Amino acid sequence: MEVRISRDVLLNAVHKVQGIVEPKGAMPILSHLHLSAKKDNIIIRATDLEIGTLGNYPANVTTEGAVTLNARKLFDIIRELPNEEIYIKKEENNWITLKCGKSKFRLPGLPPEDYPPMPEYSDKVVIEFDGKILKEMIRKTFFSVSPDESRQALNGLLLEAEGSNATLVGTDGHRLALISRPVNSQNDSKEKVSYLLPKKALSELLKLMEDDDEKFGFSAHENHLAFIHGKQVIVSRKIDGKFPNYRQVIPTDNSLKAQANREDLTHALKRVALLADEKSKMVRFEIQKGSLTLVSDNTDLGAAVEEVALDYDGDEVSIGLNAKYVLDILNVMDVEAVTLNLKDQNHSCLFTSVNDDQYKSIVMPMRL
Amino acid sequence: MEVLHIDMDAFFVSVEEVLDPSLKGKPVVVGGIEGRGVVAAASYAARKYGIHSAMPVARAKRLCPHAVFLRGSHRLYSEYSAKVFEILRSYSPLVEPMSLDEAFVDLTGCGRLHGPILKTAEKIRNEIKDRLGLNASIGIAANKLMAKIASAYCKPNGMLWIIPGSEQRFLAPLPIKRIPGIGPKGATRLNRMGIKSVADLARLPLGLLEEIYGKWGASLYRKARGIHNSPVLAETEDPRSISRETTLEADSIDPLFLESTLSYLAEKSASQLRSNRLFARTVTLKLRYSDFKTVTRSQTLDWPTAADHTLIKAATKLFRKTFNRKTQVRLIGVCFSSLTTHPYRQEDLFDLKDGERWDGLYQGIDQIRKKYGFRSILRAASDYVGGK
Repeated sequence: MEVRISRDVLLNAVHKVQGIVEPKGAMPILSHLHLSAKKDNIIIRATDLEIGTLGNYPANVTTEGAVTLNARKLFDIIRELPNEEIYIKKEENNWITLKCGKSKFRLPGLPPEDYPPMPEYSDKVVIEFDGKILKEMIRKTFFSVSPDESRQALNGLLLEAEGSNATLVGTDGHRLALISRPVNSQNDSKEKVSYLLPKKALSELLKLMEDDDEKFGFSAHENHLAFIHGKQVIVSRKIDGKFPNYRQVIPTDNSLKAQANREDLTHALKRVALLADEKSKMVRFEIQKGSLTLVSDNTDLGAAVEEVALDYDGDEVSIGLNAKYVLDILNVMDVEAVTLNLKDQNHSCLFTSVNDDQYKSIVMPMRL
Repeated sequence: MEVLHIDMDAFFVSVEEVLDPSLKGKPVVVGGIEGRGVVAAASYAARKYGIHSAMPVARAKRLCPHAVFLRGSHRLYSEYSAKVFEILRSYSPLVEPMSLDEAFVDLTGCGRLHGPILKTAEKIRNEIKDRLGLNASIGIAANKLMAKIASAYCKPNGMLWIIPGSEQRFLAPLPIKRIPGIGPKGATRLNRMGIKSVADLARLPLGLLEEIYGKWGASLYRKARGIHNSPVLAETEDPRSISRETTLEADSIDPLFLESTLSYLAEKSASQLRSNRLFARTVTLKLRYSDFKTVTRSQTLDWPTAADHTLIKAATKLFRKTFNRKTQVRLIGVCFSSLTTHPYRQEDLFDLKDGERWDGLYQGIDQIRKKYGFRSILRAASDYVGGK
């Protein structure tokens, strides 16, 4: 293999996939990237066996062929190089020569034929997302995904599509976030389809998204899901397991509605949460006519109280909520005013906004 | 420090005698009060036949068929115990209960209030005798260790003051098993090394004891000299931790038996949590192997709880992670800490709301136990007897 490629193109390509490779795994080859030159392209692959990615980049190919290179070292080297053309040549015994300007590197590679093959994925796009919308959907639900590896079905987002509408749902069992947005459905049968998207695939997908004007195609093939974006693909194994019936926990009769300025509430809650119990992060929300009092007491750390103006005219209600859960929600809701929908202290609190009835976030209370 | 160790003589039996004076002087055995068929207490007359506590009731019957056997009542003994403690607390706020019939009282600095220590002890003994009709033995010394050794020495119905400074002289001729913390197992090990009396033990240098027995060795070194620094801790409103541990009758490697013992200890501690209206956030497992190596492992729960099923699950999980199945276990224990009186619980979105049902269950269990004793209702897992 002998190839010339722009330093900036290669740097960008190698940077994006650093999160996928395993620097110190049991299989040394998984810390490598697979580079292959074909026609006018260089194809860069990375995998951790759970997810794999593939990207096509324009290059000046003299001789076709393939090499593997340590992903971290390659990235460190390219990062320090000037923006000039990079020359890569495969030598004997999988050694690679890399030249740029006046620099020359010799790097040991591993046999490219030992690199795990890219899992099979389908080119047939089922749902086409607007890049900007997909990014928003992931951002507004991703925080509620469970970090608990033992609850596999909750380790990702549920994607449901019906007609020209797609919904993403994330939950960790204590809170839930749900967003629906219009998409370009290529699904012939108008039936509802649903998939579980693994957390890691989603966070890698976010890294691939640069411009908002891009389109992202989603496809499913047997055990694998793929997001296709131009000449770039992320393939992931499906999550096994059954996502809980989220519809039944979305409250419909939370008739106590209180509206607050999102920024004011965020700042006040951040302050009061400083003295909340380290682990539970519980803050008491005391809702009265016209005002919300945030209280954190009964901890060894001290006590904090703050009042926030509230548009509310109903009965008094007091509810204990995990401040982190609430802040996660406030953080992603890009609206001026948020509405807290409550029933009583024992039922979930639903966060909505008058400007966007397609986004809902639910937090279960702490029982006192 | 001026510490008293008050130890009631044959407490359960003595209470029975107070209620039925005709029992006096007869061999009386109280047993089976908590479901187990073992002797809980024996009168001094019964002890002459070789009957002692923890012996199967059946065997006691063979040894002394004409003894009076009573089932006993946990509630009754608790009542009398509370009366004893009431008397003790009228002398000093620093009363540390060890069990129903045993306590330490710190009288340091009470001289001007109560008079000389020996007289005060005498007064306490008389008051218990006059008001309740029960005999107590009292050990007086400069620390808890010596006070306990003294009360054991002067039993029954006696009193002994070990004057500060004379500890080592007093201890020297005693057999080592008289030192609390040296059980039959430990005594055998030491005997094999030719250490029979406390004087023998006191001759060993600290370094050697530590090398052979680790922390236990270091504590032996101090105990052999009558040195003991732990203060008398009054039972406060909110303790920092609640724990239970037990040295097994015989070292065990049987995971089922060990888990069952652990479950029992955790169940007992959890019940104590609830009776103090406390909730624990941290669970700690303690294992001591036959080579006296001791390990502890802790887990912090997501939120405080006093529910048996959660606490036992955590303790069992720690046990399974820690126990290697190769080394015999000598002691097993569990400790609940990070206690709070204000519990909270993150509710689940998808689980059924069964938290309240659990609360109801434990309330019921606690009520049954209050009336009929702890062992009247027990988790099946805590009652493993197989293989024994």
